[in-house]
Amino acid sequence: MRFFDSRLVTLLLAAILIVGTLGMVRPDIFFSPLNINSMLLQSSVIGLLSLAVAVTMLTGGIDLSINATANLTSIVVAILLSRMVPAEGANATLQITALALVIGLLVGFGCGLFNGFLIAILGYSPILATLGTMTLFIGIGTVLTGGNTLFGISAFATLGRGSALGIPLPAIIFLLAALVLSLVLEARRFGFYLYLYGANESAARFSGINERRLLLSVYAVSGVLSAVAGLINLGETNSANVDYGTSYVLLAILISVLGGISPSGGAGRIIGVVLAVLILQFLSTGLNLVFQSSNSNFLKEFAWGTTLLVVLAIGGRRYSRLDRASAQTPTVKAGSAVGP
Amino acid sequence: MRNFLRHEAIVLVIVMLLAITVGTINPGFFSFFNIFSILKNSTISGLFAVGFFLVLVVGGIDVSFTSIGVVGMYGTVKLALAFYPDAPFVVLFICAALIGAALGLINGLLITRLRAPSLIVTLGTMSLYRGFLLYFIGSNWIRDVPNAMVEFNRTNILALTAENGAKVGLHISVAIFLAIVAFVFLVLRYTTLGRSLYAVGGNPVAARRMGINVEAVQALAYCMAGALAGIAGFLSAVTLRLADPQTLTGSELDVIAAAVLGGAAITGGKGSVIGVFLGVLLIGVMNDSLILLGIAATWQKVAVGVLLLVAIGMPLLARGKLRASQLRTGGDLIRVGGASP
Repeated sequence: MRFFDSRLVTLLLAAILIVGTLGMVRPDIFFSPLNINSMLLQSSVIGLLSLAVAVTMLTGGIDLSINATANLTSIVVAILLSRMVPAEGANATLQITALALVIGLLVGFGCGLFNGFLIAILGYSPILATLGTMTLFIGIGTVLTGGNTLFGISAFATLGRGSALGIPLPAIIFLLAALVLSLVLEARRFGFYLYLYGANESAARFSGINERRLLLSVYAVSGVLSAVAGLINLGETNSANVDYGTSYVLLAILISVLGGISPSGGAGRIIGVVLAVLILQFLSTGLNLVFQSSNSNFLKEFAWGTTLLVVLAIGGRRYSRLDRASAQTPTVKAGSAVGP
Repeated sequence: MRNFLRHEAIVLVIVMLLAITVGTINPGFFSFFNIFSILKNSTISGLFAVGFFLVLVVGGIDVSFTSIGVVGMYGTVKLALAFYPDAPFVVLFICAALIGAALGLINGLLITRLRAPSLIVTLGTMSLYRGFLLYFIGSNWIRDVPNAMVEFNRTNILALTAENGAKVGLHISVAIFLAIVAFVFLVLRYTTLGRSLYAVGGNPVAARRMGINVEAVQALAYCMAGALAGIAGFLSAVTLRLADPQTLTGSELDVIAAAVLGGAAITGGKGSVIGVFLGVLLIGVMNDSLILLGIAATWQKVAVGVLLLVAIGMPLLARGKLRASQLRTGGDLIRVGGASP
């Protein structure tokens, strides 16, 4: 894999173009440290969720339960912390915070493993399985909170609002996660298997890949990444509820596709996803700066949808070229019959 | 066909068992008032579900239906207030259906032309339609809806007097829903178009060799789903006597759950409208029973989630042995949907 394929160049150019335009329109605001920090902060939660979707999309699947997992994680951790730190306003000790962190990650791991179990062992289709678990996780969250928002959980404030070397901690976590994922996918055997499985299920199966273990790991990774996003969000807002960020599912899929992850699996790189996160963040900030009205959220939604379709239209030509090639030569497509 | 009937029979039995259980605990369940209100509450999601099902049949998935419904509803009300405030109900109804059909056709064309996965495309159009409506057309409630809508909302097709003297009526939107279910049932079963939908969903390659214009049939399915979504959105405004452009979003899941519960397969070519109708009824009865049984409303989503996962699992369980052996030997299933080399 070359480092600079055409897709990445396009994304880089788009990012530079948007930054350049915004920098010329409002240089005083756009390049201020405050704005840069807030953009980094805002993009880390959605960035982690995008990584969670991207890794499942690489196998040709999808995870619609990412946001539900994130919220369930923050709810469970918030409840645990409020039980373990009885006095109002008292600080949680380091041990309790660490324990809560581990439990939070375990919740995400468990949610992801459950998805993996449904998909890999029982053979559910990923869309339906994660649609069902999304409802289920939201439901469990609603039962736990009684539908209310949990306030005043400050143990993770450092995680959400702290910074190191002037960079917000959430952004560091996001970039670190992206880096690790990138290395695993592009330099380890696991990544090789994952791309192979995504590109051609049958070929992967015939070459002796343990399909079940692969899918279980992928959905578990997705769950853990979602859990990290949930914990950061808990730290940022000091609160947890089931309804937080419901539009993030769509947005995370959009970012993955924008970043070059093929929705049918097997193609795309994590660095593209990181670039796509930054591009959408620049776009959102830009729209807010230029159209300072209460309705700019709706314009943002419109812009996201349009962007996704335009990216599909540009990338679509590539997909159809592949289709034509495989129509001419009788190759066995993933999931199709292997004739007797 | 026999398999589908079996699935529908299972759903019917579950609905009846649930109804009998709840009815024995709380006899109020079997009152006309309660049954009519279950039907009325299921109308909107039922219309969405039938549309969603048509797309499932051709092997696609459409998550933009609530957005289409809202645009159809709000657009119709805005148009009527601007140009023709005294429009008769039929004109408004057709207008909403046409707006929905147009948006559905856009979905269909994008999906067939771009050859992109329908889930991704409709996720895009979902936010595009909604964002367009809320930013460019309007985001405020309209309370003064056209008169025809208010008049229509007062109409009941069946008025009964309950034992305690209260008047209960079966709302006319239920009749529209039932008529549409019957119509779609007949189209799917007895017309070339209906059989083509199943053929395209079951095996696009074979359908193409039979001479079916696969892309046109697919686009038409999205178009019909759009029209039904437009009607559903419009009727929701009629029953509320209020056009709220931010309503309906978030109710996608119940609709998808209903269609899947009813036996429609995500891989296409399977299911029947009767099954979808029973699925809608099952969710309606379940939501109603949670209230009647005094179970906290917070448990509702857990119940729907579990039910959904069980419903998806049922057909898989039936061929579970196949799947297990397939994984063990590393071989592939010979699926109807695949192309043999």
